[in-house]
Amino acid sequence: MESPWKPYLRENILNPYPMYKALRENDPIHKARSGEWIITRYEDARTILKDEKFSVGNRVDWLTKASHQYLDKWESFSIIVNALQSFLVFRNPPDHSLLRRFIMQAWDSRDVNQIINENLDVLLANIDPQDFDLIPSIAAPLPAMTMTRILGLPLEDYPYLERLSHKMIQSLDLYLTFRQIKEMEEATLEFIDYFKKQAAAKIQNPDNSLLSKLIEQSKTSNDVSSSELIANCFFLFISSEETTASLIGLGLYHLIKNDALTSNLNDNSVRTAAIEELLRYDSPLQLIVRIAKEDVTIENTQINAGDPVTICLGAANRDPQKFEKANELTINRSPNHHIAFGSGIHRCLGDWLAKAEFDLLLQRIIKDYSKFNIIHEPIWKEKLSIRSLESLKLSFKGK
Amino acid sequence: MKDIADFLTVKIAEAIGSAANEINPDEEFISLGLDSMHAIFLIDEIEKQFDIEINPHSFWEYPTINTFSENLEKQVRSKS
Repeated sequence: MESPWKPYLRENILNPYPMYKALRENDPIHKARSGEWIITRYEDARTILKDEKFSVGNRVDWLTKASHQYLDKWESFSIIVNALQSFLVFRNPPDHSLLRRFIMQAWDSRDVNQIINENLDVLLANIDPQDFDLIPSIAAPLPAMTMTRILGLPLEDYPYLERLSHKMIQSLDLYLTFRQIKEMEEATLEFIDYFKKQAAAKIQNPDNSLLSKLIEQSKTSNDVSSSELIANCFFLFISSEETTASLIGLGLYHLIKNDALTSNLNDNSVRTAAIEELLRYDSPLQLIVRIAKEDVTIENTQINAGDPVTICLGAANRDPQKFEKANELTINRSPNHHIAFGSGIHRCLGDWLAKAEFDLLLQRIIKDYSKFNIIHEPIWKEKLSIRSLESLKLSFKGK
Repeated sequence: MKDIADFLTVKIAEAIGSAANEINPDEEFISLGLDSMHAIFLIDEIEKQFDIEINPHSFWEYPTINTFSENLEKQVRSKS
């Protein structure tokens, strides 16, 4: 039988749900031609994400192996390996929990709403509400500006950091090219250099920012080295950027298209449920990779030690065994135990930030406008790993 | 096509440490022992040798030496 897993086809990238359905119904634990297992059922996805027999770090192992086998071409790619290795998302217990706790302790969320609202003031003042492109004018810059300010970096640096972050997020692509790895290497070097300078400035003039607090905390802790600290500032930036931009772009698109962007969303609990449902219905992060540490049997299928496993979050979140009318957007869905942010010890630690950015934007636009139109159908970014829009032309009209 | 297929066979033989004449051009890359990391370097080498641009997906879409080089040949011809 021909494999339904064709993540390289444009039609599947633009709309992966029919492919997911074919896999989930016919071969939910599928062995891909490229060697990895593809998981599409909700229960299996959740089991693997919570199972300590599966670890993270596949791409790090892979880059390390590559740097040994292709030493002559590899030159200094160990720079990327070292940085990625420090990223919280690629760490396994026990040091994962130490590092995660270290970041959580320093991260004070109290001032974040104010930061987001001030950023929205700036961005919304610069659009023509009757004809604007949501993605470059709000969805993309809002998360970058917000993380720049949370970390306490100069706000004018956000477009630069956003550009570097775009290069690094390619590490999630299913099929990389040599050129992309080169770009990632350059971006890593620039990021490290940038954050070293910023950290030095914070040591001179400490403030209330996350970067300052992380530095302060590292003085009294042996758990986290300074290079890990820098790598994780960089990680926070990369992981909050494209994913949140995706939530904002896809979220508003689906709300408007389904005539659901209405004053009903003024109610906090209605809005919260709607945001959860948008995360389930079209999840920003579509694929997560795990690697089996030992032989594991999942639903009668043996996965061997060392095998990579690709978990399709977007497929799990549309599993009809778990969600009634899974292919429909039901904005008051309850309960809604989607796994758009993953599950288990690596569940996203910035979920509240992504939701707050989208939530505050929604509050602002339903307060100021009442008619919302899509001027023309969006242009999609042709990536399966993170589903997001390149362009979405909208028109908002007043009350 | 012969050129690309021959070149690819030699490079694959180097990567997996066997002799070029032992490699079956109709066997899938994965069962020859190649993975996504090999794909990156093999594609890079073919791109440089033949001065073409290759979509990294095609390595898994056309997963044997013969199908891969046939597809590339088509691509080259349609451009010229």
